[in-house]
Order: sequence, then structure tokens, then C-alpha cells
Amino acid sequence: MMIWPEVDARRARALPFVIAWIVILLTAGVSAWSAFLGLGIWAPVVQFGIAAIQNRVR
Amino acid sequence: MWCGTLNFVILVTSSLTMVFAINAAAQDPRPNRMVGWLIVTAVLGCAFLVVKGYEYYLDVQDKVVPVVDFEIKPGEGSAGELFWVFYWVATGLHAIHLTVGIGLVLYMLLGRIRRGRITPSYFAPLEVVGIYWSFVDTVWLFLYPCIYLVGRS
Repeated sequence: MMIWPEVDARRARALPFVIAWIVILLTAGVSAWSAFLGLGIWAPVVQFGIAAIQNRVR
Repeated sequence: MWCGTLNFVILVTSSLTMVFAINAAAQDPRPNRMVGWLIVTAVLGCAFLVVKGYEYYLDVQDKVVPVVDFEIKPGEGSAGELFWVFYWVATGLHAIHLTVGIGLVLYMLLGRIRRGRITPSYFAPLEVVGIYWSFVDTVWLFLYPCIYLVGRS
């Protein structure tokens, strides 16, 4: 089942990739920040959740 | 932690430049733009390895190399050594894969593209290298929280 459309390199524009790159870097900042929030057992859950989102954005 | 974070930024940026290289290959009959982006990608890959090498140097200075030279820090049980075994194996394997990726990018540059074998009508080999590069990048997305963020709260 296709959730997101496939990207055709022949017609691809740069802007969506740049936006994805910015989103990944911003979420990485949130992930690093969450490490210092004292979330305890939930910290790895949040950080792996963010990693999964980053992987999907890519 | 700053080494891992810097490497995160470097690797994610290198994936972006790899995508630009593939798009250039697919859209531009002249190879200049594709070659430029691939060179940037390879340089970023090498920068990752340099930062990683510096981090390894700091780790050796800090005596956190299991079996070879390991010093248990106060308040850190024997589980600490297990973490460092995981750290060396995971990051070492990742670095090997990235080195292979840099080799593949150089092969594209010096082998395929120089001989005119990557064109807008046939760029599948470059796409495959891009998929491999993306895989190496994806692994780092998950290694980063595993190694650099765990246990900090």
C-alpha cells in the first residue's frame, strides 16, 4: 500500500528535500533537548519516536 | 555528545546533496552539476569519518576501549563496559559501511560518469548508490539516540 507518492527524479524539485532536511535537523534538536528533560523511562520512547518520524520524512 | 550531533548534521546534509546529485543526473544532460554534488557528498562523508576518528581518539584517551584499555569510572557498574562494547561495534560497523559508500561515490565519479555512462536516460546505478547512502544515513538516525542520548536524563 502506498502511503506517500513516489518521487520521480526527472521531475523532482529541490524545495521539498530542503524542507525535509530542515525538519529532520529541527526534530534532532528536539530529540537532543528531550534527553535533558528528565523524562526517565519515556526518554528513549520519545527519542526513538522522533527517529522513526525522521526516517519517514526522509 | 557534540561529535555525534555534528556527525548527525553532516550525514543528513550529505543525504541531501546525494539527492541533488541524482536529480541533476536525471534532469541535466551536462554532468557538471551532478559531479559537483557528488564531490560535496564524498567530502561530507570524509568529514564524518574525520570527526568520528577524533571521537575515537578522545575515547582512547578516556580509557573506554573494552578488552584493550578500559577503566571503570566511579558509579559506573560493569554494565558500562557492555555499553562501550556496543558503541565500538555499532559505530565501527557504521564507519565501515560509510567508507564503502564513499568508495561507491568515487567509483561513480571516476568510473561511470567520466566515461559518460550516467545520463538522464540511464542513471539507475547512481540511484542505487543513493539508496545505499540513504541506508547508512538511516542507521545513524537510530544510533544517535541509542549512543549519545541514552541515560542523560
